[in-house]
Formats: sequence, C-alpha cells, structure tokens
Amino acid sequence: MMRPGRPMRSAVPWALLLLAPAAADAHTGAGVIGGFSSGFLHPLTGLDHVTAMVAVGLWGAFLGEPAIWILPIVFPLVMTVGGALGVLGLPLPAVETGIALSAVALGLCVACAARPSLGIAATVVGIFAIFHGYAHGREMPGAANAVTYAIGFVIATGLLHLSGIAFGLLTRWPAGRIAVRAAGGVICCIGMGFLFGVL
Amino acid sequence: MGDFYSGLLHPLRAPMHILILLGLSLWLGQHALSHLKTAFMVFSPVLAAALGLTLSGIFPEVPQPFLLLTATALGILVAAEKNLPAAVCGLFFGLSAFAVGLDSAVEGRTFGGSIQSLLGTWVSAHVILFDAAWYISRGERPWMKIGMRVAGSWIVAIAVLVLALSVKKSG
Repeated sequence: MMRPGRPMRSAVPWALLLLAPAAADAHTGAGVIGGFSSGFLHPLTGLDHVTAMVAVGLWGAFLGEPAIWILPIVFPLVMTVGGALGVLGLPLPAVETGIALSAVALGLCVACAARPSLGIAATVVGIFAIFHGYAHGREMPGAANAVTYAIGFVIATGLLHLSGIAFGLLTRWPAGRIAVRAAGGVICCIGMGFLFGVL
Repeated sequence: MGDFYSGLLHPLRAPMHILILLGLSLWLGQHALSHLKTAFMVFSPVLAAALGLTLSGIFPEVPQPFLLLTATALGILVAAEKNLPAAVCGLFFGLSAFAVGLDSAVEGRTFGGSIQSLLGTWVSAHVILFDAAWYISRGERPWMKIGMRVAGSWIVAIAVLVLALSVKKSG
C-alpha cells in the first residue's frame, strides 16, 4: 500500500518523460535518433560481432562470480581503446581476423568448459575487445551524431552480453550445461566460417 | 511556457549532459545518497551560477573534451564503486554543474525568454539528477549493484570514444 506522498513523487519522473517527445528527431534517420539507431544496429548486423558478444556473456555465466560481471565491465572499457584507435585512424592489423578469432576462441572456451583464473579470462576478453572496438570506432566519423552512435553500440554490445549471461545461467542444470557448451561449439564453428571466408 | 518548456527539454536533447547527469545520479545512488546534502549545496548554486553566466556572453562555448573528461571520471567512479570524501564529492558535483550549465547557453531569445529557458534547464537537471539517484539508491540487490557498475563502464566507453573523435576533428 503506497504512502500518501508516494504517488506524486513516483509520478514526477514519468511526467517529465511525457514532455520528452518534442526532443525526438525521427523520420529522416539524421541527427540524434539516426546516430543512435546506426550505432545500435552496428553490432547486431554483424554475425561475427553478435556471436563473440554472446560468447563473452556465456563464458562469464559459465565461470560464475565474479567473472559474470567483471567480464561485461572489462569488455566495454577495453573496447574503448580499440575504438579510439579506430576513430583516430591508427593502424591495427588483421581486424577482421581478430574478430573472427574472438568467436573461435571464446566459443572454444565455452565448449571446452575452460575455467582459467579471472585475470587470464579478463585478459583474453580484453584482447579481443580491442578488435571489436576498432571496428566500431572506424565507422564512427561518418555517423550522424557521434555521441548517440557511441551510446547505441555500447548499449547493443551490453545487451548482447546480457543475452549470453541469461542463456549461460542454464548451467545450473545438467542439461543446461550441455546446451551452453553446445552453443559455445556453434559459436566456434561460426567463427571458423568467418576465419576461412566461408561466411 | 514555450521558453521554459524548451529549457526543460534541453538536457534531454543534449546526450553529453545526459551522460554527466546519469553518471552523477548513479554515483549518488550507489552510495545510498550519503552525499545528498553536499550535492544540493554544491550542484544547485553552481548550476544556477553557470547558467546565469551564459547570459553574459563572456564565456565561450564549453570545449567538448571538458564535458567528456567529466563524464569519463564519473563513469570510472561508478564502475569502481568508489566512494570519496565529501569535499572531493563536492568538487565533482561542482565541476559537473559548471560544465552542464555553461554548455546550456540560449540563443535567439529575448532576455526574458532566456531567463525562462535557463530556469527550465535548472529544474530539469535537478529532476533528472535527484529523482534518478533516489530510484538508483533503492537498488539493493546484488544484480542491481552490478548493473550500476556496468552502466558506469558504458559511460566511460562512450565518453572516451567521443573524446577520441573530437581529438581527431580538432587535429
């Protein structure tokens, strides 16, 4: 049962949101909304990105605490290093190979139920995060709005991690562990497909 | 109402301001509003002063790197779940208010319209900051606290990337 003053207090932030539609810049794809949508879609439209991001979440869930939340924190932080390199146009060799390898390696770690120390897991994830970040950063200068582009692709990356974590929580059941490891195998195969040019 | 309404919406239309205000509210909420008094005492008057200074036209446009570095610092504090002494917290609140306020200059309006617009911005910034912080402080479950730290890392990621872009554009 809500206390007397609570409904008004709870309504204030929602009331402010009702005023927000005027802030929308929809319809043409330009401006704030255009930048956000292109940034949000960037990781989602690349199967190599999607599989690797999901694999990070899967592996984190598989490793359990504290990896389950440290890996999704490490990844975006290190991704910015790669992203900054991409934005600045500094050379980073074999970006697409690195992205494909990330799916292979992370998928393999999940499939083989690899349980390295937290430091090693974070290092592996961090190394691959640089390649993913570089690819996103390379696209940024052409975006309609750089800030909302960055917001979009960081949020999309985080949601992909979350989906991997959600699926990875199935490991608490024996059948779930098999399913998660099988998913890791599929991710590894997809990564191989990109690595050898089949996909 | 038009000028005030426009000012009310201003922070919602400025992604960098949202990042800074969100970073502040996450940090404030993470530590159970322990620095709420400092926040009120520093953020409110500094924001008012900075908004007022924009009327003078003395200060040029706030360099985007300043906004981005502020957001980055706040994101790091949130990701690390780092609490700081009240004086240092006050410094962060003051810097953030100064950055957001000075970057909210109004153009193309009468003096009265500008005042209304800046007042709207002042109100909106407070609502965003303190209401969000209040809700965030209610997140006591472990996964909620982890989510806050993840959000902090996202703020750092966004700010550093945009900072790299602004360095490239200015270089």
